[in-house]
Amino acid sequence: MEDSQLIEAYFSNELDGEELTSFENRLKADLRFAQEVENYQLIIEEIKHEAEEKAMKVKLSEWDQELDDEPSKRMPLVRFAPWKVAAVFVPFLVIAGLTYYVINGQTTRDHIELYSSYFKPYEDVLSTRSGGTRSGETRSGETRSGSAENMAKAMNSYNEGNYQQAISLFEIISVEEKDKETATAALLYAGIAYMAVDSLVQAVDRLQHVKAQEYPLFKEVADWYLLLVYLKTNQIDDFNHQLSVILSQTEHLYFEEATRLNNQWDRDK
Amino acid sequence: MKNRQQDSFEEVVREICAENEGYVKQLYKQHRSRFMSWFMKQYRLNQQEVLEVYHQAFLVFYFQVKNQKLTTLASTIETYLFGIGKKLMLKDQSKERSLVDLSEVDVSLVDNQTVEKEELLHKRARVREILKKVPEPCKSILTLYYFSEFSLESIAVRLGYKNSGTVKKKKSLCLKQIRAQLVKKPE
Repeated sequence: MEDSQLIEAYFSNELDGEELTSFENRLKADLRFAQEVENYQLIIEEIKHEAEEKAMKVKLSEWDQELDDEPSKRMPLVRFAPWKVAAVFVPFLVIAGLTYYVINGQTTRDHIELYSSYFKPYEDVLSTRSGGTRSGETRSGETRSGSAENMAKAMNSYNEGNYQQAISLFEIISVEEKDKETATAALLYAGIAYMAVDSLVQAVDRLQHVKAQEYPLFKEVADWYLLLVYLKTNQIDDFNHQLSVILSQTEHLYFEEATRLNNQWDRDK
Repeated sequence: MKNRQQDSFEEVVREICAENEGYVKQLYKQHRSRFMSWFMKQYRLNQQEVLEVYHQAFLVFYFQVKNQKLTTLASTIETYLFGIGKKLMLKDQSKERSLVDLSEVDVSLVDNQTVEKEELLHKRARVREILKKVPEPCKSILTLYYFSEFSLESIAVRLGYKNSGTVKKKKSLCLKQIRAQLVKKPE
């Protein structure tokens, strides 16, 4: 085996037993070889660092967008004696408050109804026709079948509507699964399952994590479901921000749905 | 006895190393406004230019903490970020602000640098420069394999290769090419 192949196998944890011992002994004894190993190590470390940096830059830009979308709230100072202000405005405030209560009550019901009309758990795109899943694509032969089995169990629970069970299984997979794509898929389905059981704080957390990963399909699905969460919780600013994220991309998976939702939302306001 | 600032920085180290994104986001947002105001006034830069500097400064800080190169801080985080920003402005007269240079930003934190450490820093910087120019599909193959930890089979499916054997050969070739550039003597 060429040195380069040997070194690559070492960094891919493919050497064991005698091969590994022999490699490590050579590393100590052969300076030129050690230098080569160091070169490869540096290259691999910097590949990881560059990718991580790129991912962080995307996040920083997203956070900038969030900051830039936050409305500044500056109220002018009113230099009146408080009791004079109260005398003039209290009756108005009472009426306005009651009206707001009635309208807001109505709005609250409307946005929940709108949410209910749009929310459907995302379809199972992972299960193969043979009944297995397309997960378990990790490099470790040992975990491959275990990983696929866990994912199949989780998707089964999800498909049957046993969302609490599905959540438990997806959460484990999202943490333990070495294959990042599978882990991200598990996080996405966990997020949607949390929505199904009305645990919206957890749903937002999981969906935002999915959005931060580099998988376009999952990102776009997360975009849509986050939009629905913000609709249900009446977080108008977040809802509008999320809506603009989807509507700014005509090729977005949920562009049409978001357009319909937006039209309906505008009509009902 | 540890003071509050040290306690607080221990929390920062802990949360960044634990990859607590919400915490890092809060940290980023907390320091952005003052950094940008100061640098825009001081260096007469526009918002976009200062934002780039802030991004670079924050990333240097973040990776120094994450890679455990920065474990204690005598100053506040704000002061530290400002310090990085000022060094960036001093080092770089042109619009390009390369993170290659930033590996030297933490020079004040490193005591008794040996010649070997200097050489390693320099080599690391060279690798970064080489990686910036790595073309596709090498860039995708290497990123998917080493960063995303995809299996060779998954990469073959993702990138449309015949099988994992093809990807393995391609990956080896890509690494060899990078390594060859690294050991090439400068002209």
